[in-house]
Amino acid sequence: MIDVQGEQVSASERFALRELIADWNRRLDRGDIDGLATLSDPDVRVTFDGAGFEGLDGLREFVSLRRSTPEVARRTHLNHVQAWRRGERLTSRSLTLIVALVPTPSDRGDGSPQPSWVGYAEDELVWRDGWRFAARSFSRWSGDVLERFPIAWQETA
Amino acid sequence: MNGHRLDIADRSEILDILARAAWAVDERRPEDFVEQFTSTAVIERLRREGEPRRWGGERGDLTEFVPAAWAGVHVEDAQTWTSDVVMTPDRDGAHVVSNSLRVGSASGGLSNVLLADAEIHDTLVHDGARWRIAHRRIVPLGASVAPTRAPRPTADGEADGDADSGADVGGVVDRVEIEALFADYAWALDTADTDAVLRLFSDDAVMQDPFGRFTGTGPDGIRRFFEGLFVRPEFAGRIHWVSQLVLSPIDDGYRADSYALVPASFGSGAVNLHLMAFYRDVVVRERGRWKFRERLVGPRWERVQPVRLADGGAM
Repeated sequence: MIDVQGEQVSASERFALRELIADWNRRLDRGDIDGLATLSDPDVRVTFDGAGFEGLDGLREFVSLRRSTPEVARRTHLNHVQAWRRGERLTSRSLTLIVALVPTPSDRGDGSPQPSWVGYAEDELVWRDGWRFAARSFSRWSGDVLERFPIAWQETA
Repeated sequence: MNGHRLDIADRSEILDILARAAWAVDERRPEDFVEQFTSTAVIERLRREGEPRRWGGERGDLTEFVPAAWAGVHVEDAQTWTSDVVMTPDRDGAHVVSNSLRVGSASGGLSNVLLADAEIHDTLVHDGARWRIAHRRIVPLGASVAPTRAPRPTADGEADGDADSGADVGGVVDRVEIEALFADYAWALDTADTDAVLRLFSDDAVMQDPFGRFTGTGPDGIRRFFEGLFVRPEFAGRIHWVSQLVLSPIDDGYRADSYALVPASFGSGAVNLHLMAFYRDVVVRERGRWKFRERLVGPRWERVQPVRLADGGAM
């Protein structure tokens, strides 16, 4: 979990950053690797539930695993962006909800969307004639974010 | 509108319009729904297979979109979320892509199901007085439809808006700061950071638990309330997903109505939608930032006629 000491950036910058993250997420869902490359630093590092992917080749592999496919359609939603400026960089965190749908065209219906993953994204952005993602880390809502709770988190559903 | 750019006031107003359109669908208010559209607007709802369904102002059936959205839906209540919004200036206005997550609920908000998750492509125009939706294309999740455009936002707040100057355009810029308050609250609440939560309440604040089980008043009461919440064994692992703000000016702040969805994450990897609820808040400025003076959480609150911020919501 990122260190959140210090002053956050202005509300308007958080507002704009939310659009940038939404754009990245939407391109991920679509499998738009070229679009993601334009929004990402060439040395971008992406982590999802502990699995790491580095550089544009790593990003391509990540997209192949997480994008929507004919078998599983995915939508990555975000909310509640916080962000801090660290010199030439921005760090941010936001809540993430991924919805998945397995299309089942039949007389009985065509599938229902389901919440499939709840967690948060921690991002690092660098200025390259526009903000670019240098690192994105997606973590399930567990672990460090729950350490302040006086009662241990439920380990089983 | 600022030429062909979208400044922070434009973006805030557009979010306000999208939220009001969603509330109007959920509260079955067709006239308020079409108020967010131009008189010649067209709505297209694509299907995973088959021809799109269309409604239009010129056809005179735009209001029919609202009952169509409820056809075959048998739930106690529903929330339509407009999220993940990306706006791009267009030659004639703005192109806005968003996601629309629709949640149906029963058992007083404790049994919830996703009804739909669609991508929405809106074209908005400014008629000199306000923004309105001129065209809406609804693409359901899983539809094999090529995206229309991939807009590119700027993350440079200074280059794209003037919110930091303190200028307010009809109160709409306050929305941006109030949304930041909601984000800070969600992070503080969901990580059990009591001190951070308390910093977001005014000195005279009141907090009411869902369905009226407890009311905490003032800093000590608010602290007791949240400390009591955080020791509840089921609370850890939930996130508070709050949005769809509709702000109405009151004496020294705003009444803020919003949607709340509480997904829960479990160690096994399972996820559920624990709660669907509604916030009704009073937010005021205190010591340089927006804070909650009153937080009420519960089932859908009785409707109070809201005032569009751009129509005189300036404080």
